[in-house]
Amino acid sequence: MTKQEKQMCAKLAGPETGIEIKHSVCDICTPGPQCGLNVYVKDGKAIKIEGMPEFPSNRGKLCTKGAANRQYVYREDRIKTPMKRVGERGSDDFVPISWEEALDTIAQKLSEIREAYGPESVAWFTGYTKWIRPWLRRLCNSFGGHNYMTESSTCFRSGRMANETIFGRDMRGDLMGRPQLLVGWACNPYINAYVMGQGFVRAKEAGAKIIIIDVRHTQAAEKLADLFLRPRIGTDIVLAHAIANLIIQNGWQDQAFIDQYVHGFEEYRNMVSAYDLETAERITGVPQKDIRTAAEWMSQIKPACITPSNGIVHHINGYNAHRAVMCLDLITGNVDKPGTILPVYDTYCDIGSGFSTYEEEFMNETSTPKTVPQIGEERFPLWNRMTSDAQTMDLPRQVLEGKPYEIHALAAFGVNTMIFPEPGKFREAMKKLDFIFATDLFWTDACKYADIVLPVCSSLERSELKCYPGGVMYYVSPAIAPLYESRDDVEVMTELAKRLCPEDKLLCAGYHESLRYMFRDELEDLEKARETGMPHRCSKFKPYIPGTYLKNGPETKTGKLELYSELIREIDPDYHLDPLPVYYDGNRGTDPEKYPFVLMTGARLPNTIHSRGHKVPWLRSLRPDPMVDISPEDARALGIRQGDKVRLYSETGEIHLLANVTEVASQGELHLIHGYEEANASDLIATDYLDPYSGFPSYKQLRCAIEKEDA
Amino acid sequence: MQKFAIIGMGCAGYHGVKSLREHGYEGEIHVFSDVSHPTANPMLTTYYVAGKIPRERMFPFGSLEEFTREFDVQVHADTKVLRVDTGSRCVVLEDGTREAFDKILIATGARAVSPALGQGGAGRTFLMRTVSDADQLKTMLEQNRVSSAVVVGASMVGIKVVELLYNRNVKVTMVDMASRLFPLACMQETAEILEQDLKDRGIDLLFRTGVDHVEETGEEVKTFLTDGTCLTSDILVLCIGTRANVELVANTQVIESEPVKVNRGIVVNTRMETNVPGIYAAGDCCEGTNLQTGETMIIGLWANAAAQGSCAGANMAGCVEEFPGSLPNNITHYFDKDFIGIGDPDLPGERNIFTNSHGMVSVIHEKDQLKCVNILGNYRISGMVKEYFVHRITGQGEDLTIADAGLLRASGVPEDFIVLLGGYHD
Amino acid sequence: MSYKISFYPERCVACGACAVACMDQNDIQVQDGAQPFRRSYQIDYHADGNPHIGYFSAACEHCDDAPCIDACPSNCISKDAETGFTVYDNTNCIGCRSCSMACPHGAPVMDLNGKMSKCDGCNERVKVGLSPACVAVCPFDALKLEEENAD
Repeated sequence: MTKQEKQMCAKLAGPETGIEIKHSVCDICTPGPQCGLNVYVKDGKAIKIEGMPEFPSNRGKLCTKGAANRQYVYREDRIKTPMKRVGERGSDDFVPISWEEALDTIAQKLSEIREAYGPESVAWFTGYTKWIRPWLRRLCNSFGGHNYMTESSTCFRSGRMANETIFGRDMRGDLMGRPQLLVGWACNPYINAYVMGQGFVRAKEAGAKIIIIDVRHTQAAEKLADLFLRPRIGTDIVLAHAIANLIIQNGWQDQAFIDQYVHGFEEYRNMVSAYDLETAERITGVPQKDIRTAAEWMSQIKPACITPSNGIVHHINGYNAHRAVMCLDLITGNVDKPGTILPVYDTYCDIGSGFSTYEEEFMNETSTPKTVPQIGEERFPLWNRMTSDAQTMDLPRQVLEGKPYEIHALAAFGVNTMIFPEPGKFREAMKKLDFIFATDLFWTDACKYADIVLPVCSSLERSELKCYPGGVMYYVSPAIAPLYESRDDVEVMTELAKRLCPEDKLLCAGYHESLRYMFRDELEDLEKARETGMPHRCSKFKPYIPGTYLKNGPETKTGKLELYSELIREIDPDYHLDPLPVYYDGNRGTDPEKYPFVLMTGARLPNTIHSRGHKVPWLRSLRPDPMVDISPEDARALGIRQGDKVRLYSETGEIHLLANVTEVASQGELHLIHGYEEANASDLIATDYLDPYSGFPSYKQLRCAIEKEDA
Repeated sequence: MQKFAIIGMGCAGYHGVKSLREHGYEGEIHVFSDVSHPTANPMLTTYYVAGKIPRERMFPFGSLEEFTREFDVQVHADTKVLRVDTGSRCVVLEDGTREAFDKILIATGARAVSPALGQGGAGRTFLMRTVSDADQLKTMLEQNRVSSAVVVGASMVGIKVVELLYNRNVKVTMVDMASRLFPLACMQETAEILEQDLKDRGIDLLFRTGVDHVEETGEEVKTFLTDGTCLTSDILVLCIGTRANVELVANTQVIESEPVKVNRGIVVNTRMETNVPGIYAAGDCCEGTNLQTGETMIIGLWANAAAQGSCAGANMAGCVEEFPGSLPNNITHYFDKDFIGIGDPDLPGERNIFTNSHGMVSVIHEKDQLKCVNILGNYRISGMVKEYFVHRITGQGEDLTIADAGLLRASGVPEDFIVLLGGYHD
Repeated sequence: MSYKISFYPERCVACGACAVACMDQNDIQVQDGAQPFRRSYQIDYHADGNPHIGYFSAACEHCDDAPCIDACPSNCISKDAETGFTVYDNTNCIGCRSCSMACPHGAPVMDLNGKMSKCDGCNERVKVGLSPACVAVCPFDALKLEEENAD
């Protein structure tokens, strides 16, 4: 090989090879941690991906999924053209059509349905990607509707609600503030969000103590934990209350803080007093001495940062689990100080960046007064009080029952049926609708039920502004042209707005004009960021000064931090929502004899987020088969060996997959990642197995049984 | 200035020269070779005949000129060494020339066994070892219509010949005195699977019978087997085995010194020294230590010859280097099959077979003492398994590490077999 | 001078980013049956009576005295004089797997053309001052490019 051939082969950028490095952003995971990319482009094609060294968060690094961006973008099941259904709903019988025909058909159908049944009869639902949310919400509003809903109906929002219930505002752990104790509750930061994982590693190296509380033996448990507590699935509340009880019994609480800032301490103390060490050990399985050590550390080491991860809310009583853990911050006084938890002020797209925008105004200024309840409003009143979205988990029911009114159409932006427990019910509901259109990169199950399918592009193929903590604005241009006939999602919405609500001139003017509206106080910064295509520190950035929030008074009903929620107390008692974070057994009435195992789905594998990695061959190769984790003890008892075929079944459904025998799982518990079409975890979960506070499904606690199948 | 002789320019000879220079030897090097071409690899002959590599690729280290230049050696090509006089350390050539050397490395290799089979000479019987053998078979196949063949020897060479003939649509019959395929490496359990695959391809297998005699005509060759069968075919290829080229030190009159010790090959220690000071041997002509038995034996492997040649060179250059020995180990890829054999398949012991989607592992062992391992399919693990096999039988090297246990597991090696390789739990 | 890709197991969590970055760098078509050069994996074990999980990443170790080099009948494998990496030119590879048999680390694999391939330390990248792809991506610095002195 010549030198040039070798350099070509090694993909070295430069004039010799004609390979150019372009900057972009990864959009595979959730927006918060999304990383800057260097895309190696040759002849218009991405040939290699690397982390962007100049990027403030990832600094050249990437996670497993991000490293696979090239194969993700060029996935073989990318939708290539707009498609029109010609066969049965659920079949693959589609024919390509032009963009004009597709957009005109959608506009015509939605207008007819709006005319006939009113704007509320159209549900606007977005899953992944999330960068489009402000635009979709405005489009729904300008259309005249209120049934805007997102996948946050099952993710993130419940934890935020729990924080807002207690603190009046969402709170985040302050890893930068040098906590001396870090409590990662249901948190495996190495895998969930590696930048947070790096933060944990740095804290540990700087001498902080770390408690990991997890039902699984995770990387964090193995590598980070000075103390590892391993409660049984769904018993976190008992563990939290037992720790609180021990602290209070010993007078270790920060009484001065409680006296000054906390509401409902007496009620809370009474509630947790039921959880002595013996009771706690019996229910959680955590040894009493470990609970004692945790209580000592949490009350004596300051500052401490005690935060649960997102997974804790995926229980039938998950909202309260999140609240119960956060209450520990209150009684130990670890609030609004460096190294504890600090309030979050959203800037844009659910990220707090230290400056303010007109996003809220952009989203909602075209909304009209509500005449009928939103989807899920009557069933989940607390959700409805605390968010402005409809609760997606009630969508299949309302479609099928037609109550309190009929839904006739679904606008599905990046929706996957697998998000729903018992997805068959949702598919049944989709069959009943008059009209569905779907946008996606990939040909998902939901596409098969749509009338019109639109191809949208990945983050590498579009312009996009992102904001990050620390005032960072990052406005990228396309690294490669949109593949096939795909367009970016906002462009699709702009085209629909022109047809459905032409009076909304701003929405019709497109993406950049919308940004100029939202960032009108930071216009120079916006244009500078766009021009350079590099991370740009906004001139309006003001770092938060810890203590300000408490000094100004928490934004709750009482103006105090509420262990006892006055907001919940106001809700109709018929809903049986408790102002205190009470515990009850989340395993419902399922017969433990017939279903002796407790299953948890969705604990992350590094090589996928939801279903997104499963069809990326590089990622799939790291775990080629759907597998259920089972403890060595249980496997031995059932005659199951590594890689054996097993049947996993619940009252609701069954799936077939392979056994992964590992200490990751405790005895009596099973774990599997979701999102496999051929072994879909959601098939096991009943459609009404929802947390009454948040409407969230109990993805992470479900009685089931497992048996070996013949080879 | 010192003067060393290297007799033979195969793998061991080449590496002997290379190692001498790498270890700082600056004296003269005389290389005696009975052929005119540079170092060739017998393994490559079948690939050349099959048309997978051009002729010059049978010489992996390039031309004679390059060799001469790179290592500053004097090559005596087409020069057969008749005898080595041990006492005077003299090399005696066919024409009677004698030349004395300070040190001598005997790296004469081995030749294919070519029994006297009776009436022949019509050019339809072939061997498969040397470049010349390859040239002859290739010419035959390309210039004549060959539609049937008998291959004698179910060996690693034999199977490659069978493969190349099969790929040319030649009807092949494979014959061996042994009871199974690859008798020196393959357990019965593994052989059955591999033999079935060959039969499914229409290749006839005749075991437990040898060649009694051969009758060749211009049109065909009749192979008469010891069991009375007569096979008629267009060609006959003999891949029966090899014999070490030791005649230059064996059966020679030694007056002034003790003779070089020879069994089936020249016996050497771990520094490749024969029993005669200053005379070394390496490669297929010598017997190194069999790690499994502790006895010396010929281990005719390219990698073994390279290691022994390097070791000899280092020691001749005045350094102290040891090659502890080896054990029978083979890896062969033919058709879509990968076969790996480590150890002796005829040793007694408990026999176990582990099968999963990654392939099959068969084992003979006595408790935790491994005797033989066969692997089908999973070639990637072969080196790791060999490493720990050697460790289990010699105690050399490390215990199975957790990292390697994990890598074996990730490579699809069954748990029970990992335990046999050493296990990793406390 | 000689480079090594050093592995620090205490920092590794077997996330597999290294393996994927390697696949991206080397265009490993796993969907067609190609095998990756670098693998990350975990394994349960017991120590002091307690269950533990070990996390690892493994590829060619670029041994000083690499046994694959002499094992290759076609002389495809060599040491790069500048970097010390064990590099290869598989033009003449016959696919015999002798390198696999010689390698105690399971490094060599056959590519889709039946020719040997393996980690070459991202030799060309290192020559121009870049890190190997696996090292560049590793979020926890479990893999590092380190220079060894020739003495």
